[in-house]
Amino acid sequence: MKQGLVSTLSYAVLLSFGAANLPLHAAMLPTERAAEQSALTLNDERAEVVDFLQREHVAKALAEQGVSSADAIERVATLSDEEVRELNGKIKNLPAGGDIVGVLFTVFIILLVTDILGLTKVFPFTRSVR
Amino acid sequence: MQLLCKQGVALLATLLLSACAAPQTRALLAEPAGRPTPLELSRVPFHAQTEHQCGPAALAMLLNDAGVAVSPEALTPQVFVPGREGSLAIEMLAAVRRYDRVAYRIPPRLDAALDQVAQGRPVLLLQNLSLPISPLWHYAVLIGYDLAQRQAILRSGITERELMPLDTLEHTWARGDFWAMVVVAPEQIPDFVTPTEAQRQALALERIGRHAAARALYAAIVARWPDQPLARFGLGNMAYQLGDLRAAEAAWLPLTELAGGQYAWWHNLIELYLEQGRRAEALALWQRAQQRWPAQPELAELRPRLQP
Repeated sequence: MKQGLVSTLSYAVLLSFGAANLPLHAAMLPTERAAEQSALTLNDERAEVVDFLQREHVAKALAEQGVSSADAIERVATLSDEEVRELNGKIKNLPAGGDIVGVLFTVFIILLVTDILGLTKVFPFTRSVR
Repeated sequence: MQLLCKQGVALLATLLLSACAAPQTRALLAEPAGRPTPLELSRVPFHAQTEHQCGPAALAMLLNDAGVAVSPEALTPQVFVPGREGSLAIEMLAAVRRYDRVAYRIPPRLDAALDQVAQGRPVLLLQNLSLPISPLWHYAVLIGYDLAQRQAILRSGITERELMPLDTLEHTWARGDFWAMVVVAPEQIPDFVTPTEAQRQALALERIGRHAAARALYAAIVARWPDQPLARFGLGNMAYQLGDLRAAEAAWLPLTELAGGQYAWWHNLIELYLEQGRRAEALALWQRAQQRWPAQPELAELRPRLQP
């Protein structure tokens, strides 16, 4: 089942990746073809494959973190090549902004002090001494 | 245990000392440099976040302010990562492209953030509200400041107008690596943006098929940095995709007069001439291209179509 899901995902990434890169009129070359440092200027098909695999990898990582496959594919499509490289392999570790509350009790006291010092702002009821 | 206590005292002393010194805030207040104050972008709408959803809420505020009607709920499937209970900064930057807008990371400095607000742009920033040992990542929107009161004004979490000491903002933002972004229409390029970055954004818009937005951004790049041939090429490509062949030709033709250059510039103009049945012009351009890039495989592919 899991294997099935993953290969469906790969296929869909392939489709969306291909579609995004195909100009409306295939004979025209897209702007990135002339971009410096672009995989395509190097005329290196391996670089294209690497880019595709990285996109697939990022989409899978998003899906593993609970994003639906369809959303993961769309989200990867909106990323630039540089952004794909930045995300690849780091989805578990990069900062993910989300919370306003939810601190472990063990660090409660430290944070209470630092809140009052104006170094942190964890608790809504603290007022900094500044 | 005693050692721990000593360390604790040392830590507390360090904290106390550093609490007084948010370095950028201090420098900024020492030399306000004619910055207008107080200042507040009260028009920026507010969306209270639900659990873990500060990313979509903050992003909706910036997009709304940039003229896009979108709700946080609609943005959740585009930026929220359930397994991380939060949103990743890179995806926050990328998501706005679906709405024909561009997000730029601002320089990682407090004065740069205040400058953006002074120029009328709310700033979405990543804070670590807690300490690195137990991070509490949070996105808030800076909408104003009061230098005399030493305060920042934020839309944050469930608080529509949060007053936070500038020092605290600096400390919490520094722990978020000073990551912050603004959202603009493609026609606008904020003054801190480099031509390389603007081009990167235009390429990304083109890549996902937002041709009108990409065209507007390429045009803005050409207007601001007239010596950027890649943007001129892109401008022509987007005009072509949108069916404006005259504008495409006008953008591409000067590129063939440049020394050096890229084969792709020439290729698309040859294709355009062929499509319009202007075979003599296509052939003339093809011959000039052949001299420059004798081994270009696409030139060989074009050849049969040039025969009468």
